[in-house]
Amino acid sequence: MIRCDKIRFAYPNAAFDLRIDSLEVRKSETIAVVGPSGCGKTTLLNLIAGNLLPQTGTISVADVEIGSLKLGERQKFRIQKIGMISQSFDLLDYLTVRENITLPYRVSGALKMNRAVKKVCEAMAERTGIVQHLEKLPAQLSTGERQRVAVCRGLVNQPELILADEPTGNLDSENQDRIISLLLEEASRIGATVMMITHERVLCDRFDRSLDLLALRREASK
Amino acid sequence: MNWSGLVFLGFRYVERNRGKVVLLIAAFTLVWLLPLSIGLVVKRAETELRSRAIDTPLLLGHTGSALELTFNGLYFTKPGVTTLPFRVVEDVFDMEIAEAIPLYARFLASGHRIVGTSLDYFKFRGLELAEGRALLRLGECVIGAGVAVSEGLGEGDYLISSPETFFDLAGVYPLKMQVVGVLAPADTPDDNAVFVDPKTAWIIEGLGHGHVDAKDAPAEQRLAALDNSESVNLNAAVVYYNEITEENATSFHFHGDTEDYPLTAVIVLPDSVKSRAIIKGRYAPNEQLQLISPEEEMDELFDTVFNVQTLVVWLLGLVGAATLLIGGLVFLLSYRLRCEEFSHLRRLGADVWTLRALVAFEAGFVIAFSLLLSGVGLLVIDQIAPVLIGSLLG
Repeated sequence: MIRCDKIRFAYPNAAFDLRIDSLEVRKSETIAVVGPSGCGKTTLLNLIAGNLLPQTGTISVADVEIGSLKLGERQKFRIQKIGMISQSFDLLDYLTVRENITLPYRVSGALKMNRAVKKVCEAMAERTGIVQHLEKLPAQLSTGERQRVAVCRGLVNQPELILADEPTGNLDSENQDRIISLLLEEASRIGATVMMITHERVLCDRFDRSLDLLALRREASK
Repeated sequence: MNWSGLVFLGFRYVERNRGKVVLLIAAFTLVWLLPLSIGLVVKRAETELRSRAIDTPLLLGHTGSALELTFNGLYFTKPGVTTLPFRVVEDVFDMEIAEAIPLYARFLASGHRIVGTSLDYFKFRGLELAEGRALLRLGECVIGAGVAVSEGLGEGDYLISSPETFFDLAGVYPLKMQVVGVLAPADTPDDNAVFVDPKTAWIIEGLGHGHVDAKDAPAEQRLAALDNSESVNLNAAVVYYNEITEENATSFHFHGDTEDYPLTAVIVLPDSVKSRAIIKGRYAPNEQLQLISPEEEMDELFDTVFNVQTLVVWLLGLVGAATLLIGGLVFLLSYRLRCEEFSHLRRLGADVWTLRALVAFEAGFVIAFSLLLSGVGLLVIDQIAPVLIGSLLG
């Protein structure tokens, strides 16, 4: 599903330098990415999503080399194939829960809003226990409920790859557990690959494998 | 770009931030509307006032404010102008180079000005009767189309003049006048006037009256001490008629010389340019009377009005520019607050043009809506402009 070959990425005017020799993730595999702050976990996710491009090396997702796509194509590819969930939920406070979940269909020309999407949204909300909040605004929800909305939005387009950047970072342990279960269940239902950043080593057991990014970088530096 | 999504998000944002948006729309609407409405009202006033002034060659009145005389003679306002005697009309006719139309615009009937004038006035203004006939005898009135509509009156109905004050025991009795004609709409102040013969106006003022023949008056209405076979003096118990009918018309009479009776203005119609110059020369040295050209008075008035208007519009322009700058600042701050939101949308697939359009949507919505409201406001002001102008004239 994901293949990274000899990639190197550095931000301009910064000492940060991310190098990975080789990384491969199979389809439907679930991976927890761990490592200390500043080691490049979020950068790696952005590289895989195509939000950033490596200075050298190649990254392929679903057999498509991200770097070979033009900006618009890359964006379209990301919207159609990848679901992203962030720690800060990224919900728009002036939209209802329902509108937030289907937001990718509103803003992207690559996705078309239709009745089926609304049904998927409602079914997902039902499974994640937020169906009664569909017409509420995010401000009316608890933190855990807001994160569930973010998970639903990340999965609403039934992506092949889910990139989650510490989606449980703001939650208590009970909610962390519920969100991880939810994410993995939904991913399993649609056969999606999951790559999730976490600081909680205890959560790694819930994934097929964990990836220590610092170790991976050290390997590449040798 | 996803147009439907853009419109959806734009409207949702505006809807959920309606407090801010409503304030901005109100402020922007005032920025457009105020200078435009001032310009519109002044333009309408100028057109309305000047056209009537151009149509009125000369106006004769008592010395005093030329502008008040113009307003009384043309628009029947300013009823407090100093009066001039009726004999002035005869004087003008005696010159044989001009016609004169008397005007006595002082009293009201149901809020409408009663204008005492001659039949020549209707011909001069080109006023046509929509129903009924012209004035023939005392106590009759011909009403303007506006009076007919607002009071629901027609031929054969009655209209009662309003007493000037309830405590004026000496005179200005209410007179019940019969409507004998209704004028066709003219879109001028004539529409809201009640036309009577000058003598009827004088009766309203109490200068003429009608009552039972003194010799036939009951004893309780006589002042016995002054009673003799030649003349009879009546006391305050005498009953005055408040309506002039065929039966009592002959009992109406005026005390004193009617040539001394008051008029508020006289329209003078010289028969040539030369006659106009002669008449002006004739009245120039007169310390009691003034002969004015309404058109010149209006030119002078509007010169002043335009100067004030220019100043006001400049000031409003400055205030408007400040308001627009503050509005711009609000949009800028709004954009800054939404930067994070836009980066989320970018990650969710919004292209750069969608984001730019989304930023412009709020400003565009506010500007478009405020322009729309201003347009509606201007239409409303255009409709009520005659009323506004009328109230400004007093």
